[in-house]
Amino acid sequence: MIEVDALSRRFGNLVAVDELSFVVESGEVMGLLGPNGAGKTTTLRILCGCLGATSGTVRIAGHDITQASRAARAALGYLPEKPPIYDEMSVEDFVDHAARLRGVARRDRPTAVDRALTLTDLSKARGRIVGHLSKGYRQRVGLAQALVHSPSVLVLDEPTSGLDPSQVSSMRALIRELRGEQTILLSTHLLSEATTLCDRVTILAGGRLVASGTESSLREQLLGGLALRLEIIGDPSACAEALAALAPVEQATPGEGEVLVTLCDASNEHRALVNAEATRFGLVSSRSGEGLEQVFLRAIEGAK
Amino acid sequence: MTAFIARTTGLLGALAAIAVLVSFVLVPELPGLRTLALTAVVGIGGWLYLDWPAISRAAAARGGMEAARAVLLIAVAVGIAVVSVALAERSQQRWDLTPQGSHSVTERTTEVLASLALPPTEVVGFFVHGDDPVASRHRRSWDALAEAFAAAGPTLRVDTIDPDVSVLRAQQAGVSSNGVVIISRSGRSERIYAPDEASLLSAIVRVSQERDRTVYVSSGFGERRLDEVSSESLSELRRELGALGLRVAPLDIARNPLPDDAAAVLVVAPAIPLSAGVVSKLEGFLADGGALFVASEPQKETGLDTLLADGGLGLAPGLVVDPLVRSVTGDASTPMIARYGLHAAVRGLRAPAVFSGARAVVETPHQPTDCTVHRLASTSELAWSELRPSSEPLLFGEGDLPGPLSLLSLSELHPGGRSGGTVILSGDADWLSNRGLENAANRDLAVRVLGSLASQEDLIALPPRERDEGTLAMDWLDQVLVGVLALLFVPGTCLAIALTLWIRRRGR
Amino acid sequence: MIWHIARRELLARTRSPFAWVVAGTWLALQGLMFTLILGVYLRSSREGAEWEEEALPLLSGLIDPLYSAQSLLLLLFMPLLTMNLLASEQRSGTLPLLLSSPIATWEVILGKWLGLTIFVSVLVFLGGALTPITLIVFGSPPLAPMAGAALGLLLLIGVLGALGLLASSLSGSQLVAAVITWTTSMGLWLLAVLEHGEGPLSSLARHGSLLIHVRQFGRGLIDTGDVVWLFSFIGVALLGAWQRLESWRWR
Repeated sequence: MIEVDALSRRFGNLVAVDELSFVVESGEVMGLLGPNGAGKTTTLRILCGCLGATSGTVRIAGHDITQASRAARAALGYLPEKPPIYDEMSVEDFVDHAARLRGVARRDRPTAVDRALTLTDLSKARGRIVGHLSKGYRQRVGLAQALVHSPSVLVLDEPTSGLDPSQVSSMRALIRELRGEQTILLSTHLLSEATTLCDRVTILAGGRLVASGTESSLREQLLGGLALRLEIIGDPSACAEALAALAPVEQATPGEGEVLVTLCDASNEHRALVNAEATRFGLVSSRSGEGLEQVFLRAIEGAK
Repeated sequence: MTAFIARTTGLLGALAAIAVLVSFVLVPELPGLRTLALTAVVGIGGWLYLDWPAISRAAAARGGMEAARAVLLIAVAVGIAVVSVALAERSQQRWDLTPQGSHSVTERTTEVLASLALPPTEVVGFFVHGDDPVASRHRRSWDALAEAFAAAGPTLRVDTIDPDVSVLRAQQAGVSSNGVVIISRSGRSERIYAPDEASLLSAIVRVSQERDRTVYVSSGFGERRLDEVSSESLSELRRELGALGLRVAPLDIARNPLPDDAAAVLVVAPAIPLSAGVVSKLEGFLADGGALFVASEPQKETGLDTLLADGGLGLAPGLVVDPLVRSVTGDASTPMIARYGLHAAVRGLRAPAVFSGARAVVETPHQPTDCTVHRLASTSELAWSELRPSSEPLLFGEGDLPGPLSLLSLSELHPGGRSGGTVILSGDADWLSNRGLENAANRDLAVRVLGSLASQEDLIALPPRERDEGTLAMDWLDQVLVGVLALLFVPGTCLAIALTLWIRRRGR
Repeated sequence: MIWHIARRELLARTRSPFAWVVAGTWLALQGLMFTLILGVYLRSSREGAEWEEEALPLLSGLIDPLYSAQSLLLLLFMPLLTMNLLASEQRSGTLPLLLSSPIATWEVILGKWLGLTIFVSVLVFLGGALTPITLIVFGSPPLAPMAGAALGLLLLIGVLGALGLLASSLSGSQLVAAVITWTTSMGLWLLAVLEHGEGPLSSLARHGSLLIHVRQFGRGLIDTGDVVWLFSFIGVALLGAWQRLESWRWR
C-alpha cells in the first residue's frame, strides 16, 4: 500500500533522507522509529505531498506521489505532529471542512463527519470551539480530519507526543481499533509505543534505514542471537553455573525463573548446545535476550 | 566567495534583463537600453560560467527543475502582461460614461480633426498640477480634453507642460500664467485660455487654415490710441493681443465699413458719443454675430446706451468706491476685483485686477429675453457705487448702489433663439492702458477677455452637450441625519457584531 | 473546490471579532470622509449658486473625491486583512492540511483571493451603500459614472488582495507581510508624482503607477488600457503567490 524506493531529500548540503526504501503492506501498522533528526518527519511529509523529494519514488495505494499527486493524496490521511486545525472553528465545522477538502461527496459528508467524530470520541464536543480544547482533544480532532474520508492509508507523525498518560492510552487504543481497516504508518521515538502498536518497525538514523522488521527479527538482525533468555523450571543458579562451563558461553546470569546467557557468536550449533544443557534444568522457552531498547541503541550506534 | 560573486552578477543580469523587457515595450526611448542589454548578457553569462557546477547540480535535481519551471512561467506571464498592456494602451478603446461626454469629443469635432492635413498641429497646454483645488480641477479638465483630442485627431500632437516644473520651457514659450494653450503649425501659432472643446477646435482650425484675424479699435471719436507711446495709449494691449495671433488695427468706423475679417471691435473710451451711423453699423455688426467690446470713462458718454440696453447692459451712475482698497492704498476710487465669474472668458483667473475711476456695470431693469448676461469680474460686498465720491467722510448713503458690483459684464445675444453677437461692457478704460497693464492681473484679464471675445466669431458650432451632470439638494437636517448614519450607525453595527462574536466565543 | 476555500475564508473573517473591529474602524473613517466631502460640496454649491447659474458638477465635485478617498482607505486597510492569508496557515500549522489534501495549489490561491475579495467588496459596497442611497434620495446622480466608479473599486480590491496574498506567501510573519503590501502598494500609488515630468522616468511612472490606472474610473471613463493593466497585475501577483506556495514543498 505504501512503497518507498530510494527516497532522498537534501536541504542544501544537509542530507535529511538518504536512499530510503521500504514497503508497508495493506492493513499493516508500520512504525518509523528513530532519534530526533533521523528523518522521520521529513519522510512522512514527503509521503503526504507536503514536501518534495530530491530523488526517488513514493507510491501510495499504487499512485505515484509526483505523477498522480492528487490520487495519491486522496488515498491518504495525514496527522502531522502539530494538528492542522483552525482554532476559530467548531469541531464539527472543522471536520466537515476537512471532509470537503478531502473530496467527500456532499451527500456522504454528514455520515462521514459523524463517523469520524464517533471514532475519535468527539461526538459530545462537536459544538465546541477548537481553540478552547485541551491538547488531547485537539489531537483527536487532528485524527478526525485524517480519518473523515476513510482513507486507505493513514500517516501519523508522533500521534501521542505531548499527551498525558491517560490521553496516550486513549490514543493508542484508538489506533489499535483502526488497524486492519487501514494501512497505518506512524512515527515515534518511543520504543514501547512501537512494540505495542506496530506490526513492523523501521529504524532510521541519520536519514538512512538501519533496520526493518518485526521485533524479533530485528533482534535477530542486529544481535544475531548473541543473547539468549532461557525460561526454566529448575534452579536458575545451578543452571547458570552449568551453562557457564560451556565453551561458547561467555556469561550466564541467573534471574527469577530464567537464565540470561551471552554467547561468543550466534551460530546455531552453539545455541543448540546451550539449549540442550538447559533442558536438564527444565527448559520452558529460549528466545533472544535483549529488549528492543538494546536493539535500538545498537542499531543507532552501528549507524554512527 | 566565487559563488557569491557569481550569484550577485546573475541577479544584476536578471534585473537588467527585466528592465530591458519592460523598457523595450513601454519606453522605447529609454537611454542606455543597449547598456542595460549588455549588462543583462554579461551578468547572466558570468553567473552561468562561474557557478556552473552548482547550477547543473541544482538543475538536475527535482527541486531545481521545479524552480526553473517556476521562473520560466513567471517570466512568460510577465511578458504576456506587458505586451497585453502595451497593445491595450495603443488601441485607445474607451467608454465615456459621463452624461455630457466630458472625456470624448463630438462627432463633428472628430470629423473636423480627421480632415486636418499634415504637417501635424502641435497643441501644448501649460497647466500647473499642485495643491490648489481650483488649479487641479482645471488641470483635470484639460487632461480630459487633451486625451479626447489626442484620441480623435490623427494629425494632432498633444502635450501638457507644468510651468512650475518645466520652467525653462514655459519661459521659452513666453507663458507666464496658468491655463494657456498654444496651438502651432507651420510657423503659425495662436494661444487660447481656459479652453473648451469648441474654442480649442476653432483655434486648431484657424491655425491650419492660416487665416489672419484682426481686432479693430474704433477711432475718430477721441478714443484711446494704439500707436502712441504714452501711459494712456493701448500700444501694450496691441502687443499682448499680437502674441495671441491677433492683428490689431485702428478703424474709423464712420468712414469705413466694418471688414469681414473683423474678429472683434473695441470701442475704448470715446471722448464724444459715437454718431448714429456708427451705432447703426455696430448694431448690424452684432446682428451678424460680431463681437464688440466697450470701455467707457466715467464722465463721458459713449452713445451706445441703446445698443447696450438691447444686450441687457447699462452703467450705473456714480463711481465705484472700495473701502477695502482705501485701507491699503488710501484711495477708495480704485476698486479691486474680488471675484471672477465662471464664464470661459475669465475661468481660472485668480489675481485681483484693479480698476481706476470705474462705473458699475448693471443689468437693465427690464432684461431682454434674447440675451444672457454674465458677470465676469466683480467687487467685494464692501464696495458700492457712490453718487458723491468726493464727499468726506465717504459713507454709503441714499441713492448709492450696494456691492458686490460688476465692473465687467458680458452679454450673449441670441435673437429669435439663434446664436448672435457678443458684447462686453466695462465701466472703466484705464485698466487697459499701458499704465493699467503694468499690473499683471490687469494684463491677464485683458488678454483673456479680449482673446476670448475675438474667438467667438470663428467658433465652430458644436451640438450642445447635455449639461445635466446630476443634482443634489440637502438641508442641514438631512446632512446631520446622513452624518449620524455614516459615523455612528454603520460602524457601530460592526463593533456590535464584533462584541457579540467575542462574547459567544468565550461562552463556547 | 475554489468556492469552498473561498467560503471558508469568508466565514472565517465574518466570525472573527478582529475582522469586524477593523471593518468598523474602516467604515467609521469612510463615514467621516463621506460627511466631510459632502459638506464641502454642498457649501461650495451654495456659494457657487450665488454667482453662477450652473450647479457644481456632481461627478467631479463629489463622486470623484469620494472615489479617491475610498481608494486611499483601501490602500490603508487591505494590508491588515491580507497579512494573514497564508502566513496564518504557516503559523497555525494548517498548511499540511492544504498540501496533503487532493487539491491543486492554484485552487488554494484562487479560493483565498476570491474569499477575501468578496468579503472586502461586501464591506465596501454594503457599508458604503449610504453614499449612493444619499445621492439617489436627495438628488439625481448620474448612474453610469457611479457604476464605473464601483467597477474601479472592485478592481482595486482585486489588485490589493492579490498583492497582499503574494506578500503573505513571501513571509511567515504577518507583520512583515503587511509591511510588504503597504510599501509596495503605496510605492506604486505615489509613483504618479513623477508623471508630470519629462523623460523616461516619468514615462515609466505613467505606465507603472497604480493611481494612474485606477483614477479614471472615478471620473466616468473606462479605458481598456487600465482594465488590462489591472487584470494583468492581479494575474501576475496570483501567479507569483501560486509559485511561492508550490515552492514551500521545496523548502
